[in-house]
Amino acid sequence: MLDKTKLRGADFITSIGLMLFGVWILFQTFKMPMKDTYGGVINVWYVSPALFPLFIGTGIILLAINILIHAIKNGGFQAFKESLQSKKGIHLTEKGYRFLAILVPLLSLVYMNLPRIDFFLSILLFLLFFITVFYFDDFLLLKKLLGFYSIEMGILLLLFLTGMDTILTKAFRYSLDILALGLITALYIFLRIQIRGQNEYTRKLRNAFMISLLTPLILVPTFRFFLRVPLPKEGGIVDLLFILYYAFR
Amino acid sequence: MTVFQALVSFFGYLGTILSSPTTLLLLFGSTILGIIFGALPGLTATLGVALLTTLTYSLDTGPALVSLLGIYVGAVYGGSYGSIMINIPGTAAAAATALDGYPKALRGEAGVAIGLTTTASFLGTIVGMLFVVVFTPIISFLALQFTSFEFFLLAFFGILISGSISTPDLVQKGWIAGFFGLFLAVVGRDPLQFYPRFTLGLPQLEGGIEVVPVLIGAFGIPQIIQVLKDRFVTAKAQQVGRVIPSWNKIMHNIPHIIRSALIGVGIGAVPGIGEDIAAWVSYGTAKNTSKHPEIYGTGCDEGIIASETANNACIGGAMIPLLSLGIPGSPPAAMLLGALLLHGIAPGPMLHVEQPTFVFQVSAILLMASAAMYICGILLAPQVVKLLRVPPALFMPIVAVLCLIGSYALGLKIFNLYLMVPIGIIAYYMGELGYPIPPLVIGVILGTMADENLRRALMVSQGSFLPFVTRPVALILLIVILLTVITSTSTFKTFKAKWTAKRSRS
Repeated sequence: MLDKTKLRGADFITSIGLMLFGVWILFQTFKMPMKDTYGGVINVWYVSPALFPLFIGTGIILLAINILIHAIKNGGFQAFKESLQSKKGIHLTEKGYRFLAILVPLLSLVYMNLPRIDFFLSILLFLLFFITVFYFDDFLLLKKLLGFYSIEMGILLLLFLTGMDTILTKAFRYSLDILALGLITALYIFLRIQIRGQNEYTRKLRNAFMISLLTPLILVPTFRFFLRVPLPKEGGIVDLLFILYYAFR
Repeated sequence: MTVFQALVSFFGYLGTILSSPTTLLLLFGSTILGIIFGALPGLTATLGVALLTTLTYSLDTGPALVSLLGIYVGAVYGGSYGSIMINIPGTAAAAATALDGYPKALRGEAGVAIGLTTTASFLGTIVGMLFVVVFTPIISFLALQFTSFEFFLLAFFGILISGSISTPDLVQKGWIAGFFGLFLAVVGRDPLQFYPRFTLGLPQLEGGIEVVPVLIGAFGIPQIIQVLKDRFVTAKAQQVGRVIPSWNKIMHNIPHIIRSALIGVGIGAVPGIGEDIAAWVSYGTAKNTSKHPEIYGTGCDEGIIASETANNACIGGAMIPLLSLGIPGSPPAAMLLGALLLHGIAPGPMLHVEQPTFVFQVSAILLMASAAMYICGILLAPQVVKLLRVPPALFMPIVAVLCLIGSYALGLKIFNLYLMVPIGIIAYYMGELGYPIPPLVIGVILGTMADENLRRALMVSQGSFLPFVTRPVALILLIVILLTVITSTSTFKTFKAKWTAKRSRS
């Protein structure tokens, strides 16, 4: 949690945001049938679908006003003004970079890779970056790795936005998986180059790679074959595991 | 159901567990997993229950419940390992244990400290279990007399009290978190008229927001961000030595144990209040009532016993409102509620009518889980402690993957993940800004109950609010709600402070 002075500054702006959110709830609520007919049913106010959201919206607005008043009384507006004045340009701290190093892989995995790239490869790519970036515990390396990974994700984003992925998949079913495999290899080579000659980091990379590989190797059979859960995208590697599973079964 | 039938049901289920090697394997496996989850800093009991919910989804209700309660009990106990060995609590529930556990370990008595926590946790769980057996049927019976008016007020009270107690800053923030949870609960087609509410035109939202992905997101993602962002460093663990079960010391501390267990059960029964608060309140009470408060914090047995008995007794306490009213008493219990709903069991007053033996099944599982925890704790503690050396950077990314696949696997909807991640990020920021997460979760769970019962109640009364004050239980609940709100206002607090000052002067 933030310290008290910063907190009151943050309270000032979040309470305004919450008030607007409450107003939006009420605005949407007033569009709901209150006393008029909906689907052939004549409404009375107390069975209206708007009743409870009305209660929620009003509650949020009142509480947000309360927090706003408290924030203003305790120097929240002043703290907010000072924080605005002290911010000149975007300057990311180490914590900021670490936060980005969490968000970039998480968001790219969920919104981009999982629905389109083989589950096994998506997880491997995600883990290889996500583990190494924090396991090395080296800020300079974190920045370089984050930059490299962002470029990789940028390439994928470009493909998906331009619709090239559909064309590639039509040409060859596993083309995106091959691309993902290429990105994993590129990331691994990039890591090897960055940590060249540092024994401790080489050991860490070996551990990280083993864990990144073992995790989907355990998860995919567990979920796909044991729990019978169809994976979000079953591509080349999952198909290969299918062949192996039925060959040995 | 007669006492004899209850006993037959309880011992019958104990026999079923003991005679099935698979169930025993599940019990011990999940308890060990729970201890590991609790021991590793950054992983919590709630997250453990959440992730295991997915893996046990395909099992029958009995074995699934064995696994979930096993991991719950194990994780609440396992948190003490980090507290004692490296002075970093594995879970928030074990933070109070570090105050005396770590100094004891520094004196070379880590084995004794773990022995004490193991025995205290075992007894705490047993006391909690006894309360589940005795009080759940009584409360269920009383709740059967409740109508929609009482259920609406009960749900609302649950959110308010959870917001009031769990907030780290202003009480209004706790309540706003609860209201945000209520908002998430009303998204989707309204159950009475099928009108789409806040669906933003997305067909995926028409069925409403699924509870389990919200819970996994709200508890899992902030934990991952916090641990990795704040550069969590592992510390060198103390030597454990032999873990000694401390029955003699425990016998000398029976009054402490009874008091701590009662505090644990009592706090556990309050909606949304978790094991951490139970442990702190118990530790504080033990210190304040002690003849030698100066020894607390130096490695005294009483301090360890107070926090560890209370946090494990809280499990039973949290199960009472969950089973009797459908209101979870703690965050892991909220997750457990989600799991029960997935298995087609709807906790609440009707549970005791539809499945009268269920409470005794749960009690039998709790008893077995505490026994498994005791055995594993005594035998495996030195091995589990070795895991404390594993840096979170290695296991937190795996937890992230488990959260994702867990949310996806329950409904086979990628949309669940699209919701889970932003909810997790919002929950993280809420935590940073002093908004507690438990009321949000309680709001999501109780939202539908509050919405339906409010409208049903008003339908019965033809739009009149009068029954809220003419029905005795509703009136009591209303008064309690008003008192909760009034006593939380700054005006009341200022008045109270002035009055106390005036009294002390006179």
